[in-house]
Amino acid sequence: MELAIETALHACSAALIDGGQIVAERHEIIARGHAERLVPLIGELLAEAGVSRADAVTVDVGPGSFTGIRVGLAAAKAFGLAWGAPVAGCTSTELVAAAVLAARADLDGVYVAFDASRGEVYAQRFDRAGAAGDLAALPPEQAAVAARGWTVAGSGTALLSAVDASLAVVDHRWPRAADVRLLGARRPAARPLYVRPPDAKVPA
Amino acid sequence: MTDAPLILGIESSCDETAAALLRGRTIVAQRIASQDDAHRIYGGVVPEIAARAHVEALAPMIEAVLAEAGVGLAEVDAIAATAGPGLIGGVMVGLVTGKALALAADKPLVAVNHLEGHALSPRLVDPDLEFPYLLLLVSGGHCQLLEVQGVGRYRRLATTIDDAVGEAFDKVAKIMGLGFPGGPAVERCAKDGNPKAFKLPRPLSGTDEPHFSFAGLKTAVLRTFQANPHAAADIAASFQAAVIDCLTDRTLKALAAAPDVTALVVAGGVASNAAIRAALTGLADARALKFVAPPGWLCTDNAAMIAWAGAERLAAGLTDGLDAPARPRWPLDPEAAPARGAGVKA
Repeated sequence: MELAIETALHACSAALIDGGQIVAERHEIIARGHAERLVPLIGELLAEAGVSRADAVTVDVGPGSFTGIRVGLAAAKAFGLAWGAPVAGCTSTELVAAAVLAARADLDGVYVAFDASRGEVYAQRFDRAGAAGDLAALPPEQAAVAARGWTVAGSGTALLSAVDASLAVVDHRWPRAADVRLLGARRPAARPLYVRPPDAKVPA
Repeated sequence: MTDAPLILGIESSCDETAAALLRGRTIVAQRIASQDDAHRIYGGVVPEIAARAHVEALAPMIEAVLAEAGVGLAEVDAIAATAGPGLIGGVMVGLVTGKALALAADKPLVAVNHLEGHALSPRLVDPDLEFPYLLLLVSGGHCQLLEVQGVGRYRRLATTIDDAVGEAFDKVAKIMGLGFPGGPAVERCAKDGNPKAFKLPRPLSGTDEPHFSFAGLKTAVLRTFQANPHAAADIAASFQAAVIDCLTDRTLKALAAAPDVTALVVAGGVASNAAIRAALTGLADARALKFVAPPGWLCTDNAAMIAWAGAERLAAGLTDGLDAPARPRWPLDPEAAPARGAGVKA
């Protein structure tokens, strides 16, 4: 039994997965309040599944809101510690890419973009073999050029469409924890993927 | 004390990551990781840098504390985590960690007010300290006088209307280039100085208003240092003397307003300043009050005091749900009248 956690963006999302099947799932679009909702929500999942622990934990390590990334990571590491379970990481972009490519057999790839605020998107290209480019924070104008010829998904879709209305899009805004089941079995250890450095200036 | 519950304490509300295991008044194991080095070049705590460090350090630290004590989570009786007030990114890391451990190990959660951790910490080291006592809480984020009437029961008698006293130390250290954190740096520098060398203001001292103010004092230090750039030691000593006069004047006023207290207690990071301790000891002695100041390590942020506050609350039947909010602001006495200009530090 695997526990998947995704709180990096607007969803407060968690799932119990066993043998590639969803045993129990919650996916709530709350935007704020992840630190309050996440653990009770996982409590509901465990109760629903009638289990007291999972054997592995996978958490979305970003990109997304710095706070959301940390809420997920803190919970994942604590569950891993308490259960003696390994804690692996996946990314927001790969979760959306996996979901879109699973649902759309006609697509060879997908360009995933999330609104990163400050006039930028977090964006990355995927094909059926996996990531087809590096994750970056870039202006929508630049992302729209990079997305040409690809189908766009993620919460940044509207920002790219505003630049180039001809882009093909899929309406899949937020990553979902249960889509961890679609990822490969080999996953890296969970480390936060902030993309941007902290806001801090050394005084003159 | 073997029958006392075993409490895991977690603290991450500012720039210290800490975990502790406490049974009764015995600290079974504890770790504290200071982030001073990460923040030093910025001359102050950068919230995002602090939060990133907390999420990196906390879980391995809890694991190390459990290993050192030779216990598993199953043997822990309750989990106490700071739920505020403080830098919210860091608070969330500690609180969510505590909640997840509580759910995974099926243990009660105590969402601790960090200020209550400081307020009750003297009882961790002094079993004879009874309620009510007068608490002078002096730290980088707070400067308050509280009548501690019992667990969860506080009457605020005074607060700062501008800077916290630890903040004033940090700013003075910054003005004179003494380094970070400012408290110990100013104290060291003041050792070689003449506290009467410069006449600095004692804001609000002697007034009817019960509160503290340090902004004017800080500005006076800035002007004095600009005029006397080679007199850092004398300025530091004169500043420290002015702070002590403010603290004692306000403490005497609070004692008059809380006639039932039998002890004066000082806690918070600034309570580790030896000159401030000496002045308050003298003040308490002169009024035949018991004086308690926790040891220096217990005055700065730590998880043992959070575990202790958790133990006191657990004993009082006060536990929290797993939806307990992380709170950037959380006054100990929410009923207190707002102080003029106090803003977030009320």
